[in-house]
Amino acid sequence: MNFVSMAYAIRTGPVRNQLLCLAVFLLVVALCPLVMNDYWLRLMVFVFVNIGLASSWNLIGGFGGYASFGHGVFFGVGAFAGAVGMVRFGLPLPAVMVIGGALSAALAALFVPVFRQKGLYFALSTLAVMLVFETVLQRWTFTRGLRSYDLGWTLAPSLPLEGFFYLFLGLLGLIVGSIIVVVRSKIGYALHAIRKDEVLASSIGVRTTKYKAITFMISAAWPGVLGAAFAPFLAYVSVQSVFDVSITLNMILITIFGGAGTVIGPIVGGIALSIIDQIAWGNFLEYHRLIYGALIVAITTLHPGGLASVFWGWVERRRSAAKPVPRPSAPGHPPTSAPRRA
Amino acid sequence: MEDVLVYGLLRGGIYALAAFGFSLVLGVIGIVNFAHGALVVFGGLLTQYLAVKFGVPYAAAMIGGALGTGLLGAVIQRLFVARTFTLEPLMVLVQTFGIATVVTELGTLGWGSEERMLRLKTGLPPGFMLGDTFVPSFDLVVFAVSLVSAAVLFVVLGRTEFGRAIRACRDNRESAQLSGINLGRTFEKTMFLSGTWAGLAGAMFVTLSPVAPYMHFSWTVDSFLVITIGGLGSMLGALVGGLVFGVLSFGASFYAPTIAPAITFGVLLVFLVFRPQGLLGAGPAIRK
Repeated sequence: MNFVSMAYAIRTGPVRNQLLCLAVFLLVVALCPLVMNDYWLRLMVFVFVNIGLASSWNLIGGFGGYASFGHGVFFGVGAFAGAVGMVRFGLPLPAVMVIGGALSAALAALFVPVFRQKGLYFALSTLAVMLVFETVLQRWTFTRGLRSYDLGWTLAPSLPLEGFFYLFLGLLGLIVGSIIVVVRSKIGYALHAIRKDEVLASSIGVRTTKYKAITFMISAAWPGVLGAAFAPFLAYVSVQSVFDVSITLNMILITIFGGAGTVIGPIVGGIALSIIDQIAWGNFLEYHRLIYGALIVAITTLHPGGLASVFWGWVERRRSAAKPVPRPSAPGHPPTSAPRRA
Repeated sequence: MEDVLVYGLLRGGIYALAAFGFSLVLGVIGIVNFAHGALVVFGGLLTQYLAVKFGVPYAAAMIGGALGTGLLGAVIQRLFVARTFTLEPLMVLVQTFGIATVVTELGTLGWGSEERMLRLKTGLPPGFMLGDTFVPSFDLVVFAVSLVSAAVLFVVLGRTEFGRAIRACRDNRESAQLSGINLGRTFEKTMFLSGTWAGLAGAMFVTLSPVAPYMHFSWTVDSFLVITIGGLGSMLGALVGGLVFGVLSFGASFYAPTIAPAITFGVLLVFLVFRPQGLLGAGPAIRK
């Protein structure tokens, strides 16, 4: 079995095989601390968090086609839940992670009325909610800091660096695993229909608002969990550090770069952009943002499906070269290129 | 209270100018242009550059800055957006955001990242009293110019062949093409118009407040807010929205400066939930 047909078999095969692949990938990455120093381990943690956030965003933005431009609010709320919970109430890390996820999901549930509107309004209102929360969390003395003059939270790192590495690697596995399962479930099929043509989907009995709301809650809960776990790693949590617009933008960029609406997209995009980031920081510090922006323009203009579509396009070509008559593809697998607007 | 109303309205004229192009592009091409704020800032800095570096009189610099920005918009449309506007809206959002980053970074490399402002010596009296409120006459002139340019845009869109083509493409793309309208060229002209008025907004704003490349995103968001308040797909809505937004944002930062953004965006949320078509919107203009 050559590489091309193996990749194709995994993509169209049962969920079990995909999860197995994920497990193998995680196990290989789990060996990294044996050969890496502290700098690279810290960097890997950031990469895990970025991929985890992008994968969560991909669920509503990529698979559902509803771009959330304030997804950073869920990460921020999670981080503040972690900081407030651990410092003010002395809760353990697992407890604040659950609280962070639950708070974010509850916040996402408030968006149900907006889901009856068009995607553009959704994008705007998520952005607005983020800016509202940013201001409120900064002003409210309960969340601003422990003492009345504090502007942030100082946390003691509750785990050694290797501990954080495995914690975030495990979380990444859970997030990607849950997305693999969700995409192949009834929710995933409903999302596919909504993304292709929402009016048509609702006319044949897909309860679009319900599925959008469920998806958005899942997609919001994971950044909440990640945020809460990230708080002790960051050691100092303030509005400036966890509500930065670049957190949301990174989620979107990583997803689009890798391929929106594919499970592998955010993973590939996260790794690729991190490598580019490292090279750009190291060699052309002045032009760092310029290179980033130019890359985004290039990928969206030339290959809107992202790196994943480049890869799958190559696989399809190899397959059709090997077999003159292509088989009809299996139902329900994600589209290779960005679908045309209806 | 009168202060807030007067100063808010005076600023609102510029917000309306910035929002016209945003609304036009959204209605006609059907995309959300995240590079719109970058165009506003580019127009402001180009005007300042022309006036300071080459000593061009302000009126000429303003027109030069506006036309230069319009040209940049048309180039963006031809090279980039023309390839992606039929894809999912998300793609264009991300693409135009990338363009905004590139324009901003190139602007920073060329002009520096500091805040710049253009102080004009107009020889006008400093201002007059309206009741208990001091009205600076220069701001009033800027407001009047913004209203005049809004009127020009209305005439261009409503009375000329060019405007009719643009409106035809907005209302029904296929029919417009069947009537012999070149879709690609019309979109480029739309983007030119959008960029020109964005540049004009920047050119006027730079005489009142400092402008710097990093401000581009807040201009995009503000334009977004203006047309949400005013209503999508309606030029009059953008004008009304701009004035309302001017009063709202000025009032918020006047009465509650610490939580001003929260108030502005809270009002936006109320609009989104209860009146998503805005004050004067023609109903949902886009499908997704």
